[in-house]
Amino acid sequence: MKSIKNQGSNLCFGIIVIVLALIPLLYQCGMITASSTILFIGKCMSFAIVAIGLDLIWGYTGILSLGHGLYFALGGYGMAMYLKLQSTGGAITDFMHIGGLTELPLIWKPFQSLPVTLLMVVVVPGIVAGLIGYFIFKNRVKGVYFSIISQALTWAVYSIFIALSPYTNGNVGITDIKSVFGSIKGNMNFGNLMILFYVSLIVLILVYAGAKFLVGCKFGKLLIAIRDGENRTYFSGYQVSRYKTFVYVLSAILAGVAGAIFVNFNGCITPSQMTISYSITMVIWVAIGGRGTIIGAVIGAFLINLCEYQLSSGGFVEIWQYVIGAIFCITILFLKGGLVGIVKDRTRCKKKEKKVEGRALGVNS
Amino acid sequence: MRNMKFKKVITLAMAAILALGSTACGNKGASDGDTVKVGLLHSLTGSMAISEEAVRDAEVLAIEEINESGGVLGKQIEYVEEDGASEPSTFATKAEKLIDSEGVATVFGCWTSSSRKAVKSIFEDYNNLLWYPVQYEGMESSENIVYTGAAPNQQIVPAVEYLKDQGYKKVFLLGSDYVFPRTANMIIEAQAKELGLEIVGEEYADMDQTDFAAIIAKIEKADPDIIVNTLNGTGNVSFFKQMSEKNYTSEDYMTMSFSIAEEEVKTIGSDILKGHMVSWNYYQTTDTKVNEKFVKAYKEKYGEDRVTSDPVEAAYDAVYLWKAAVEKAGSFEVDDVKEAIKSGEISFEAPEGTVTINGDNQHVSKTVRIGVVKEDGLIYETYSTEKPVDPDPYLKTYDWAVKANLQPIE
Repeated sequence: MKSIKNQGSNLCFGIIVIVLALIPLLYQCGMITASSTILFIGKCMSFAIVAIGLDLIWGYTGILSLGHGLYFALGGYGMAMYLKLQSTGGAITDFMHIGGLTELPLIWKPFQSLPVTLLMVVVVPGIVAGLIGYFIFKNRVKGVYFSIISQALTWAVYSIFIALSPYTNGNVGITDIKSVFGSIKGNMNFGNLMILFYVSLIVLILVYAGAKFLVGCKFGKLLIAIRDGENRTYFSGYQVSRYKTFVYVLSAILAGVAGAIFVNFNGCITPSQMTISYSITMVIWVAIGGRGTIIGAVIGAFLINLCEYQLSSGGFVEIWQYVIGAIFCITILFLKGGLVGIVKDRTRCKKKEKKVEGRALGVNS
Repeated sequence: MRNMKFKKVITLAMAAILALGSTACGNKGASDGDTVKVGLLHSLTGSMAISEEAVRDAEVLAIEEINESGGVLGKQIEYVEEDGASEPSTFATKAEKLIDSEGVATVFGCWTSSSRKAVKSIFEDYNNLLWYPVQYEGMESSENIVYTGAAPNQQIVPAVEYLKDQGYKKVFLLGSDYVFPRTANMIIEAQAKELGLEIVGEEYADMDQTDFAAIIAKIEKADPDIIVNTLNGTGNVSFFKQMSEKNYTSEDYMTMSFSIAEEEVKTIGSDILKGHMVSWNYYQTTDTKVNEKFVKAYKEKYGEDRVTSDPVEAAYDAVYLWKAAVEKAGSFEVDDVKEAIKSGEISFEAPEGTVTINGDNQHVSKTVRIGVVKEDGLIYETYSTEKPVDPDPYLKTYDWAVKANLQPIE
């Protein structure tokens, strides 16, 4: 029975992947008229990756982090620093000049090379999350207290980024950058966009498969055990804090990778990606899609963002946030399992009916 | 069972909204048939909405006026609105959507410097035209952006000169912590050195800081003649309220503000602000025939209690300047319009007086006006330049600025 349910979500993901893979082709044969749509779907893929990370930590382990924007932005800034240096040719940038710096700051130097940057995109969020996770989980801080700490931390780093404007360009952030594969805007650069799009898609597939593998093996069962009965898990002899730290670091790394992909599509990164409200938005994607399912996170990230993209113009331009808000409220009030939960409920109901039927038949005979 | 039905209904409703939301499609093409499509890109939700909605309203007013009088090149203007949600990355996404998916001929939009910087490279890459209506910190010029608000030399520099002429000597710099105040104060410092003014303090408040006790204490200690104020948004409300709670009026501590216009006077309160100085290019009270008509039309459309302000007027001008450029070019094509702008002959008889786009830096020549807030909540002009001041976003014509090496690197 379980394997069918699993396969259902894998099948669903398979369909999403096929649709995504077809999108650039649809553009080439004229079904999609604008390459900016593809760009936006690219951004959605990065959102799906960070949502998977959040689902691992929230849906499976029961730790509600309201500060994943921090790791998303750390990854994003790392990538953006490399891309900015590519466009200045390794020289200092205009905001450093205005800030009074005459040579490239030490902290920017590693980002001159792509391999080091890619490493940093993974390592920096990982180390930050590792340090924080280690101390927080070792002291058995949990529940709402953890959520508050994660928010405060995000706010603190946000303030630092604003204050260190010669190094980070304050609240303007790093703008005016191209992707790793060169410019992706307009028709003549469509080849670059295709490469970037498919690379991101492969990353998304790998992340999904990895997450599915993790929650499918013993480790996943342990995460659920921690979520449903932390003390019991302790008593069973598991080092709960180590598992929690590990999954926290993992989701931070996923957020960092997502941030790096996002920057490539977006062409800029600003501290607003690091704000608390942005972090909460990420949690909403997971909540609406359905937590504790992985596929729910992917669906939520895509649907909510596409919905925002379309609704926030034209007739809905001033009220679209109410629509999104209403969807969120309805989900929380009536659909605890999110969108995926609806399908799950259905199958469960049918199973029950079958069981009841079976019993009735049994009695009759 | 009833519960199940209820759930089903909700599920269906949600699915419908999501499906509708995520599949709706825009149709491409800037000018087909009898209309030409333009984009309006402002924050209509989030913290900037309150300011940007007024600007959007002015643009809509101008578009409707133009349509009534026959349109541009015989075509009616059709506008597509997008919400930037006070978030620079959203601005970037929406700019791409407007230019590429909707295929607009031009875009009127943005307010904050961070949103403008986020979309700048997009307008350059797609080769479209953005009309930016707000005064800003300068040090920028792009072929694909027309800046209809003031550059520093059309607002800040003349205001500091005015202060010197009025005999103020000890200056305290107070601003919000972001790019405009930082750059503005960098310019003011260089200029103060030249003019022999003394800077007795420089403080920055977080964007959403509400407690100014520490900063007010520093001001008391430094005892300046004049506070040059570049606070923005809610910071102004808190600062001036807390000053008035200590019974300080403009007679104790005079301020010169660059981000307080009629709208802000309304929120802060004219009883608190009366007597304080501001520097802009336009006030609702500006005495021109065109302005009389403009204020009347704006109030008629949006309500008697609405006020016009400098950014509102600059946004209104932007639409007319675009019309003038298109008519000179005889085409809606961005390259042709850019060529027309480069001629330096695009001008408009605006509420603030004649404005002309400078062909070299795409900024607009504007008359500088220093004003004082009066009890009725309006701002009255006390000084103005005789002629419109030519824009100089990089302050290249000012020796002290060149000496201080303010120019950004290439």
